[in-house]
Amino acid sequence: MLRITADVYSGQPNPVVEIADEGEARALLRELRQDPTLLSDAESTEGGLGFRGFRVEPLSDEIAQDFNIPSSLYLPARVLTRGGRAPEIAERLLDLMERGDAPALMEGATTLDAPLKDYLVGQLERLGRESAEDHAAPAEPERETVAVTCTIELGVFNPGFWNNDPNVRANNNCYNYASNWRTNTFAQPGRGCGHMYTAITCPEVTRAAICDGVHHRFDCFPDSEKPRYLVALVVAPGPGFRDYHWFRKQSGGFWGHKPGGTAARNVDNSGVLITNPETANRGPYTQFCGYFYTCNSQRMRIR
Amino acid sequence: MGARSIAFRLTVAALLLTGLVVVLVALVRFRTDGSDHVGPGTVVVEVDLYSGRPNPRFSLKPAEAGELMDRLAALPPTDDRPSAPAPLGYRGLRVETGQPGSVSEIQLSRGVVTVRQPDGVEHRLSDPDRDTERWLIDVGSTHLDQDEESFLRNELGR
Repeated sequence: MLRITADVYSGQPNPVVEIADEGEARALLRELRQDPTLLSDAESTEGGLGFRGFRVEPLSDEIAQDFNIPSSLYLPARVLTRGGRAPEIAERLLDLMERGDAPALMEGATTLDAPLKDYLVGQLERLGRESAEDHAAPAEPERETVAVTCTIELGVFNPGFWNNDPNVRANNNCYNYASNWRTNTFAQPGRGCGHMYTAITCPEVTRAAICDGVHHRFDCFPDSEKPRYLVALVVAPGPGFRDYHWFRKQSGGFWGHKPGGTAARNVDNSGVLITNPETANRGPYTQFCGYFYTCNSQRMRIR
Repeated sequence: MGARSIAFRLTVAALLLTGLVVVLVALVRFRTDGSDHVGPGTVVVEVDLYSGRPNPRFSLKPAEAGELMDRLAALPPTDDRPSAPAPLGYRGLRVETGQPGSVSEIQLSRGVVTVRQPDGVEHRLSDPDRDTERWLIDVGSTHLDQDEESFLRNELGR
């Protein structure tokens, strides 16, 4: 049905596999067709050395015609990625390649073994975020801190990851988004550590999140806890409407958030890009509780 | 607007209402199980309210689902789309049906009722005074806490 080539090498032949399962082939093409802006017609000459992308070739005119695709598609990856769902699709391609078969008519073709796959996955993970220094500002409230400069990670804003699949969108909330971890459980602060919040107040939701493993800002996490995201917690104190909400700082100088089961976005209640969650229009979430860091072990703990 | 165009719109409206009535009659024939699990034959209303906390949800009894059918069938079709609600705060109501192959979701927001089929096709009805939305909140009031009910009545202007 499909031939997938990982555009990796300079000297030796690239890994290439064929996917015979029609269902898997069609599902992949459907995804690629959902956002054609992720694709390019040909390999770029600017890809440089190392992992550059994937070539996907239909092997029957029927499947090519059904999806209205030319003889092949190219998904740039790593430095040339066009953002959006590209990293997620790239990871899916790697999974398919690991399970795919060597092309029958390509003698000596290289397939994708586990060590190479792990290496390429690592390349994809490094792509979507950058590390930055988070400095204590003079206006910050005084706190006991381990250090006044912490290194954090700023992820690329990737709303499609949260929004394109209705089940993902409906079952992941602001806390999932802030942690950048999709549990499909509508994660609640403290539930993962066994001590969920018992009231919707800044101190109590903070306590629950810290129980999960979140740190107050400027209480740094080591590099081993990458990715370390800067997040902000706000509360709607009532009366009538009581809830909490989280924002996460993205690369590009703005903040993203996901209001409950609705779409992830980077604008506030006025439709304005969020550059500062303290001053953004937050509707009923009038109390600003503070800034925190999430980390890898925390996000794997949330439920 | 020419006569032919008006006739076409009336035909579409009639087909939509007929389809909606057929679907909701099928729903009413199934008993709800009293839980908020959207199983076959259940009709569940979700109040799209929160960001962190789970939204309040409640099931409709057969008679309530029947009355919803009557109310929706009485609403005129519209081409208007609901204005996008502010993302933080009350966003509207979502009615989910557990009937396979039929309407998958009905959304009530800002005076427009959107009926969504499983294939993604949408039909919209006009509820300018938000009476249907208000009525559903009344139906579900025993499933809401006092604060939520008070907040929602205030939001809907009563």
